[in-house]
Parts: sequence; C-alpha cells; structure tokens
Amino acid sequence: MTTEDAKQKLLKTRKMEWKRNVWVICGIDDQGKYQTKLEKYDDHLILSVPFADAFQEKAEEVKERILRNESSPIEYFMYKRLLEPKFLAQAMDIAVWRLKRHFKPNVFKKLDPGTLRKYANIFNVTVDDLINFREDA
Amino acid sequence: MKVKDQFEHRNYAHCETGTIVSLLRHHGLDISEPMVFGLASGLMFAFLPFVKMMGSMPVIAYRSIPKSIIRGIQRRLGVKFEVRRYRNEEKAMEDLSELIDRKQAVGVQTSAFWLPYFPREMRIPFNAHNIVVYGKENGEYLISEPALQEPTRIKPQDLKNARFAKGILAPKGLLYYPIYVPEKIDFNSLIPKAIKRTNFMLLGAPPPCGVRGIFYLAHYLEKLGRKKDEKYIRSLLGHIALMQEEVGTGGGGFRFLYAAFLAEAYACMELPVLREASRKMMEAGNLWRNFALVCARTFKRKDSEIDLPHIANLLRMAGRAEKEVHLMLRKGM
Repeated sequence: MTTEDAKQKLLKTRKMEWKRNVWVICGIDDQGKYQTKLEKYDDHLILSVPFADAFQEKAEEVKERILRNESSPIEYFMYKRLLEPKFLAQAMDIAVWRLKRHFKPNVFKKLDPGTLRKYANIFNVTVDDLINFREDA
Repeated sequence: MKVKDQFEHRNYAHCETGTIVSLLRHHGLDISEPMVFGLASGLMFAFLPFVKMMGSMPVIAYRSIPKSIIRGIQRRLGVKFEVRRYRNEEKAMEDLSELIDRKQAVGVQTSAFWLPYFPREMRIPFNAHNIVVYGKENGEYLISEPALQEPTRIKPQDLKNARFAKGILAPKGLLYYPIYVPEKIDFNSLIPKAIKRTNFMLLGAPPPCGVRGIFYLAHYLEKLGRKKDEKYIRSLLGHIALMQEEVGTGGGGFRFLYAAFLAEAYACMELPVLREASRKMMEAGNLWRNFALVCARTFKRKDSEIDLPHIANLLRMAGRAEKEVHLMLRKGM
C-alpha cells in the first residue's frame, strides 16, 4: 500500500468515527442571541494535524531501519502515535536517555514483560505485536 | 440550588467553558457559554516562540491559560466549586465513582491522548482537556464531551490514564463540581468589571502577549523567510490555523464568542457602545478567519507560493480591528 492509499483510507475511517464538525458562530442579533452553524471539515481549513505528515515520514524511515535490524518497534510506534521522545518518556516515567536505549534492538530484546506491557498499553497494541512487529496494529 | 434529574448534553464551542456551563445549567443556573467566557475574562492572545509544543511548534494561545476560567468564574459569579487534586490514583477513581453514585455530575481534567473516542491523529498529548462525567452504566462511565454532538462512554482504565497523564499542565486527577450556586445574579454590575479586566489584559500586557503580541507575530512571520526552510514555514502556518479554528474556539480564535458576549451584555445593559463593539468584534473575527484561511491554504497546497508579507498584513489588519474595539470599550465603559 502506498502512502497515498494509506492517506485515503485514513480519511475514510475518520469520516466514519469523527462526526464532529467545526462549531462556528455566524451571526448575532440585537437581543444577544447568536446563531451557530456546523462547518464540515472538507469545506475549509485543515484535514490533518500539521506535524502528522512529518511524523509519518519518520515512521516509514524507522520501519526500514527495523528491517535492517538497526532500531526497535518502540521507535516506530512512537512516531506512528504522534509522540515525541520527551512525551513518551514522561508517560513511561523514565529518562529520555533510557528510552532511547530501548530503541537499540539488543536492549529491546532483553526488556522485561512488565515494561513491554507498559509500552503496549500506551501504544494501544498487544505485547505480541510489539515483539513480532506488526506495523498496522 | 435545584439540581436537575436528567443531565442534558449539548455541543459547546470550547471544552473548559463548555463543562462549566453544562455543570451550572445542571444546577439550575441558566447561563450561556459566551457569558461564562466573557465574565471569566477568557479572551487573550499570546505568542511564545521560545516555548515549544508538539513537533517543535511555538505556543500560540487565543485565550488565557487553562483553569483560569474556573478560577475567574468563581470570583465573578460567587459560584463555589469543590476542586480536588489527587496523588493516589485509586483514591481518585473511588472518589469519582462515589460522587457519580450520588448523582453528582463532575467535571474532570484529562489528557486528549488517552481518550479513545477521538480519532487517532487528534490524540495528541494535550493535558488540559475538560469533560463531564455524569453517570455509570455497565461498568463504563457516561461522558458528556463538549466537542461531540452525542454523549459517549469510556472505560474506567482509559479514564484513569487520561486523568493521570504526565507532562506539562499535568491534570493530577483534577475534578470539580459546584457546591453553591446563587439563585439570582446581577449581571449589570459584573459585566463592566469583566470587560475592564479583559481590556487591561489585552492592552496592558507586555509584547509577546495581548494586542502587541499580535503585531509581534506579524513581524515574526514577515522575517521568517530568511531564517527557516519552506517546509517549516508551511507547517507553522498550518499550526496557527489549527490552533485558531479547529481546537474548539467557536471560530476566529474566540473572537466570535467574545462578540456574542458583548451582544448579550448589550441586551442586559442597553449601552449603545456595547452593540457597536459587538459588531466591530464580529468584523475583527472575520478578519482573523480570513487570515487563518490563507494560512491553511498555504499549508494544504504544497506547490503554492508562500506570500509571507501578505499573510502578515492580513494579521495586522485583524490586530488593528481588535485594538480599536478594546480602545472603544475602554473609553465607553
């Protein structure tokens, strides 16, 4: 699947689950009553968070590095879930340098089940997905 | 204080005012969202290039800092909220379910990253999102989410994670609910105070904040072409439009909401200057919106030309219009 296809799929799922539209005040009368309207996402403005594309690119790059055995699934899912090392380290309650150490494949293999479960909980995947690296999880 | 039996869910423009309005309405005080926003002096502008958010984007705020509306509304209206923070996660969840059993609707601060009903790409680690929990059914909490048209549900584990997310502005299990709501409120004496405070905040604040901050941002955008590459500029413009229009501001970065407050104030007080100000604020909101549209277009069409001086001029127009409104209010009130 190319990135373009993935984007289209993302937009489709978004329309199904995200029924919220942008809530905008469009006019006021003298009594102070205001009218509102709901603007659809497609009509105007943005379709994705600006940095989402940059994170997606990084995730793709990490995927190739994982296949070459240079990185671990933790780094991939971090970018896939739009997280930065700083935020993930805060959520894990560990220092950033320790998190970055977990990006090394050798260290990742030796991680204990508790830590893996904690990571899996944050990424909303199963531990099995992490160890065997299923990218679409 | 008459508490209604049934919790009524509605869609609100902004999460913090939305939760407070639905809690107050639930306790029998009929008040509108623009009124709460205006009385708590929620309007603000701040551009802090040295504080970085997600994806190394600068902080751009169109309102005062989170939780200031809860504080402001207590000071103005004389409403009393019970506010609790926790260290112990288990205790926090126990207290919540005990309150829910007493049929008390509770506002909680959460992190958007852990809320499963948001779409994946909106789940960013933003810690100051407010929701109302109003019931429990089949082991799941019933949620009134101001950003959605329908009430939703959430699992206790997800809610616990959301309430104890870490990082800047960490919620620390914050929950709040009204314990005292006055029967009658004299809006005529409160409105001038609130407007004066907003005036002071916007006209008197030092450059990165207030009206001067708007011109500072325009200056910053104009000079940006020399410093940064094209990709960064495009995503910064996208970030500005996102912050202004999409993250629950009621459009125009809260300016429409404030215009609605001024119109409502005119209906209470019958001062002509308020009607004039409301009309002008609406125009300023349209100028803001115009600016955001051009930003969004530049962000979306990757092959288009980036006309930074034009964008900066649009922003200056919006800033000038807004400054006029505040000066007029300062004179007239």
